Amino acid sequence: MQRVRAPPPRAIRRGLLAASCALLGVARAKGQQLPDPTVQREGAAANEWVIDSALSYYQEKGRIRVIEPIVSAVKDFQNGQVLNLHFVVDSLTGATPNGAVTSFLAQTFAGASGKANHNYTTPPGALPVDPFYHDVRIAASGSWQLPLSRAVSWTSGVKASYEKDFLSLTGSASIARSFDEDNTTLSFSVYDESDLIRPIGGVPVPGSDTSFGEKERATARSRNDIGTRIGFTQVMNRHWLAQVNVSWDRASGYMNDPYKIMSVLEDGGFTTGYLFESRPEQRTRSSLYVDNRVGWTSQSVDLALRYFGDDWGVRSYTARIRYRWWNAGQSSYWQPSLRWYRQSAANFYHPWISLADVGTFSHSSADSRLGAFHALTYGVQYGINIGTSYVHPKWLTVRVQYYRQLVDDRMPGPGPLATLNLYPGLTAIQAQVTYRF
Amino acid sequence: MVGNSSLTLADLPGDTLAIRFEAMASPCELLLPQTDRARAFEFGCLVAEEAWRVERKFSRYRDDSVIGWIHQTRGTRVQVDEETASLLDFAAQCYELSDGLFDVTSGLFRRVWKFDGSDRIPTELAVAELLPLVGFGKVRWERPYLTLPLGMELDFGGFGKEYAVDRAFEALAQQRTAPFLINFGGDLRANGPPPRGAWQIGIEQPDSERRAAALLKLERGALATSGDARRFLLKDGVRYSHILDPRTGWPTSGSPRSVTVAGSCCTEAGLLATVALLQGTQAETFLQAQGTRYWVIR
Repeated sequence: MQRVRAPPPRAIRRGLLAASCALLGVARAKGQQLPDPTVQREGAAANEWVIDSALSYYQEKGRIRVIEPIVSAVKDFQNGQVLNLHFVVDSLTGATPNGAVTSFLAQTFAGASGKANHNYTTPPGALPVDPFYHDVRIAASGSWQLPLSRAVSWTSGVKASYEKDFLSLTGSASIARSFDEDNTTLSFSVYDESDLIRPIGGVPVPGSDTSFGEKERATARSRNDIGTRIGFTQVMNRHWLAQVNVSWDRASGYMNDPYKIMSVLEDGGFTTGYLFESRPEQRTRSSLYVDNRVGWTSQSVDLALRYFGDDWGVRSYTARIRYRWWNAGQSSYWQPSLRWYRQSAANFYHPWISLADVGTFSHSSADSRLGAFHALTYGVQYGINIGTSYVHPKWLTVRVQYYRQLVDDRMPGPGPLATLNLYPGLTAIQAQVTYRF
Repeated sequence: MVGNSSLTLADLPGDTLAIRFEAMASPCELLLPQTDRARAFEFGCLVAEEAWRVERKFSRYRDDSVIGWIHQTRGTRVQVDEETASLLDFAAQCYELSDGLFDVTSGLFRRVWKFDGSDRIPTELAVAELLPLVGFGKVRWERPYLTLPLGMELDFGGFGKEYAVDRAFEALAQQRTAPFLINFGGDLRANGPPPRGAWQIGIEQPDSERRAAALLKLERGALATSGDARRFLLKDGVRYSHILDPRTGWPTSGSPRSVTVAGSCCTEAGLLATVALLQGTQAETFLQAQGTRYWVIR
């Protein structure tokens, strides 16, 4: 047996290309004979990181401002494993409603949220807000997707969030199975979130009078939330994708916002004092989400509906429509969107407590986020591929949203308060710039 | 017509139609974004007819093919048609460029090497007996006259599928400038990116079902893959790949399981992939020297 060693490699491509051109009869074509192939590994799908960097700016009119840098990174290994990392730093500053109701007299409050030695005074006719609100939130999360077989994948994830008075840890697991050539996907996920709340200055005794500064013995309280979700995605046809999610969760533990108070009013409309809020220590929530995406060559429509209900009596309905219109080269798009939201109040929500009722409610809160309101969000998004090719898209996305919230069930205040606007609602704008590379 | 000559039409995500058919013992498809079904069917027929034509004309399994006719006239000087002449020119150039590694006369070794996963290794004598009958240098080729010596065989299978892709591509490109992709059993070529993004091509892990080992994005150009892990012999713990060195008649040692190469046309890419496999352990070094994109699975 004779074995000939392979010759040292030499470049034969030029010769081969010329031979191929001759074979195919394209050598006679003028200029460039055959274009060079343009091919690469897909960014998201072959050992390269796809990174989203974003800066988000949120401003409520006259109130809080949030500046938020976001970085997320996705790495798809060739073997079907996907690693997802997400990192956010929030900086919140500005004024936030403290829960007390507007009065015809000036009101002075002891600063609660973070800086105990800052007292502040709200002028007559204005909604009491804590002007010294300042917080920084750092959150990081990661998930790891692992294929168990061609049709089944497993994802496990962790999430951590930290503020100076709040720590949250979440673990999650999810299993997904696809059927019918991946046209149908069924998924089941569970998560367990543990929170530790350590209010600045101690844990106020729920429902107690703020002027006594009564604190619980423990300096921190905890909360646990266990939830599950069943997801169903169906490709209806090549233009239409439908998705249904059903989710349920049960939280128990400390639910209060330790800095939220509520006014006690006597019949003449005078504020006689303030109580710390007191929410139930259990909450069971469920929701149903239906999303339909319909797409053609140069445009697509996304219509999502959501129903939410909990055992606190909050029911909410959301409808959102997004329309995306692509330019001819598919290198940029416009996307206007409209979102409508309506919620009913929690059954222990009271904008204030009348003096006669003090002590009769086992639970109460004046947090307007638990009240009845409806809201509209108008948004527009513009995306453009500023990369030079489809192979290496570099998407720059700019989004602006305007949010307007209007309070429903506006119970008039007693006495002279009836003439004041106790429910100013909320307007906010949000702007976000995202660059994906 | 060869095999099953029917076309099927399938809807793919992204508003793309796939026209599928069988040719050259492979599943073949034409992908057309944003095309109405009637037009798509027309284009599909054009592409399939070209594939079937190339298969019919150059099949080594058919007596009525050009190859069959050349085999029947071994030992005599025959005049071949233009297309066959171009393919023989190409075969000669490949033989020369690859220093004899790529040889259209090496199919003869199939008589003694049966790559069925068994341990039936041929005797050294059996292989040695065939050596005088292999080697393109022994073929007398003076365009358009060919003399194939007695006992020798000619087989265009080494680039037939890639050639069919390029032929079908040229035919369709004359009728359509909008993007399309032709894929004959994993050897493929596209004229431009689909409206949104690029063509996404999965390279299969040779020994696992439908599991993509890598996902590539192709805008334009060709990709061809050589290698098949299922075809081997195993004896005394030694794995004999089906990549035979035509100069020795013995398997090349250290060949990758699969090589995928990007090229301007499919024929070029396919040849590079095949020659790379024949380089054995030096496959990557060889591919690097070519200055094109490649993916190797070992």
